[in-house]
Amino acid sequence: MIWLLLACNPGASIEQVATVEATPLAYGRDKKRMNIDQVAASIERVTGQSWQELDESGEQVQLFETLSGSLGKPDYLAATEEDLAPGLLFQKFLDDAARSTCIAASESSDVGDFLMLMEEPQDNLRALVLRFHGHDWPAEDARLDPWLNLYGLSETPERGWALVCVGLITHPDFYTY
Amino acid sequence: MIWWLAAAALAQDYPECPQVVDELSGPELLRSLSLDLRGVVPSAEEYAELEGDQVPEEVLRAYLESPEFAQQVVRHHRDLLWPNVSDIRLISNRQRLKLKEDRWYRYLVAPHYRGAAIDCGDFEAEWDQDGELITIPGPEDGSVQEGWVWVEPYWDPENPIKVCAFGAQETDLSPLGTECNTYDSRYDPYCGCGPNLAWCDIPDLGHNGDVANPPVHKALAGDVEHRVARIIEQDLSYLELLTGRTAYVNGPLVHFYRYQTQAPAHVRFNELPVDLELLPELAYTDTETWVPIELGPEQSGILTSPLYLMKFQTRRGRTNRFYDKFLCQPFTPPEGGLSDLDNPDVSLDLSQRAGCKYCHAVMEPAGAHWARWSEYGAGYLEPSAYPVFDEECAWCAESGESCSEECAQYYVVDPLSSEEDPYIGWLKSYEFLEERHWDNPEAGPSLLVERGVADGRLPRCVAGTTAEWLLGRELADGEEQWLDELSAGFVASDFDYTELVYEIVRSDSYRSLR
Repeated sequence: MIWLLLACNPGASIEQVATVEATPLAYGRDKKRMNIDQVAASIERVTGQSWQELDESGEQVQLFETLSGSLGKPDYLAATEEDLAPGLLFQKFLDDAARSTCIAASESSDVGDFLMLMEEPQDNLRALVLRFHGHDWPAEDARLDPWLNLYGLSETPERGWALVCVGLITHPDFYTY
Repeated sequence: MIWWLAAAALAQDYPECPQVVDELSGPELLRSLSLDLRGVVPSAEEYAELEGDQVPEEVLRAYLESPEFAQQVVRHHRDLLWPNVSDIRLISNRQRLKLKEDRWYRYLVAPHYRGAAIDCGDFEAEWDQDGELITIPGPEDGSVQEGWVWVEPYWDPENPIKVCAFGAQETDLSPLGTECNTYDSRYDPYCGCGPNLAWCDIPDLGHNGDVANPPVHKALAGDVEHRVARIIEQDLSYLELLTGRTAYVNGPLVHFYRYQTQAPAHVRFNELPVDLELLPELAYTDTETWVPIELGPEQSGILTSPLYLMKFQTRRGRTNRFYDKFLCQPFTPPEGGLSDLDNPDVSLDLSQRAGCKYCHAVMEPAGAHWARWSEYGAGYLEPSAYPVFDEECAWCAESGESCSEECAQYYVVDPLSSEEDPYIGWLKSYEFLEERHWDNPEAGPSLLVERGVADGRLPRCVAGTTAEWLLGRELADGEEQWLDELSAGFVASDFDYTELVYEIVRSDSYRSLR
């Protein structure tokens, strides 16, 4: 029996096993994919833009609404549970939404409020990673490097931050939590 | 000592290895809380105000007091209630106007107006000295045609339309004695669609479930969603949601209740449990204005809302949903399946029939809580108008005379076997119901809620489903004690749903990822 208990945590002493017993709530929660409403609202929050286009009659339509059925949002007639799998269709539309909103944000007069918050690229990147992913990484953190490299691929700062924006939105750390 | 520790550990029933978990950093926790409680990631300013790895209490409280939180609770309840009945036809096709050229006409009633399935002529209508519509011979033998009139339709009064004059008649009571806002008017040529076409519809309004998100169907769901939001916004007991009498109406719903429930199609609204005198003065076009109204003492919150009654159209369906989602006690067969299915003694009483009784011994008396709420409809069978035993229904059933629509619809008048004979003339919903369960229909679903509270099933289930929503997973066996604590706290807080959510998101389980 002791071995059974210790097997749960091979590094633990008998006393530590007893401590584990006293905190039975350490089950944690599962990482969740955002639902479609959360994705739509969060993209608008981080870019200042909603994913929309003009329909045949010239009216603006919100694409996350018109595509909600395809994206797995239940209508409670044909579907009663939201499909939260990050499937191919979800990835495709997320990519479309990211490109549309990030480019619009980079061309907007509000670009300073959303994509270009700081003067120094390193500082700006840290701010964006915090806003988009909720990671507060120090400036020297190596995990920032790929994003800086991505930013460097473009000729203008606006285009570079749009590129980073697309990458951040399509990254799992954006649409999961 | 070692053996004692080991035995104590096993006695506490923690057979599983704890999961490897990562505690969330402050920004990550803030992001999770914001997404779950408000449906959106935090703003840059909110991240900036964060100090260390703790989310300040006032931030969490602000999230829980935000209007967005109420909407997240509404969203969670959609999964419990499936608020969409837009596949149900609400009013008869005979009330429908169809467009031909530039004129609207009631195409299914046309033969009663004109002697043929034709519309009116392309000329403005005129009346003779006696007030009778002037008609001219129609294109088919024996048919006639009247002209058209301009009408300001209730759905768009700013833009008058041409309507064939027979269909545009406004009288409440025809010279033949027909009440023109009822289904009986379909054969009466003196009945039309009423003032501003109030009793009719057109395809774009979607009463017949033929367009997406039709206004009245959407409003029926909106009523329930406003009831859920009210519980959060006004800090009311969660039990108010399941037993209260407050409902919500907007323009389309007021119009529907006032003018269109008497000519139904798939579902019946008699007797409509809404006092028409208490309805607010809202135009059909007031889709975004929601007004609370107080309903009668027969109400049991959302469990007797038109949406719930139409989504789950039978007593068994209503019971099944409540047991599954609010008591966490789904009706499922035992492992290995039902037994005794070969028993030749087949009873119409499912609570007695072999095999069926495994579930129905509970389901039938539980379903009786909805015995006074009509099936395939959303009407309330008020006891004085619908006694348990009706002599007239018994008489027509036993004499072979034609029974009234009410008898045929709600009473046992056509027994399938001798087993039903003792119940001839009884309300169908009382058939086979043992006398010891007669409190159930009289008290309604509220009694079912009270019993679920008294034995702890309801608070435990609500706590469990809420925890599963926020944790994104089913609860583990080892979390039973935590669930008990959540449930006890929920009861102690007088069923404060916000406090329940607060306790869950403050837990170690919520603040770590596995």
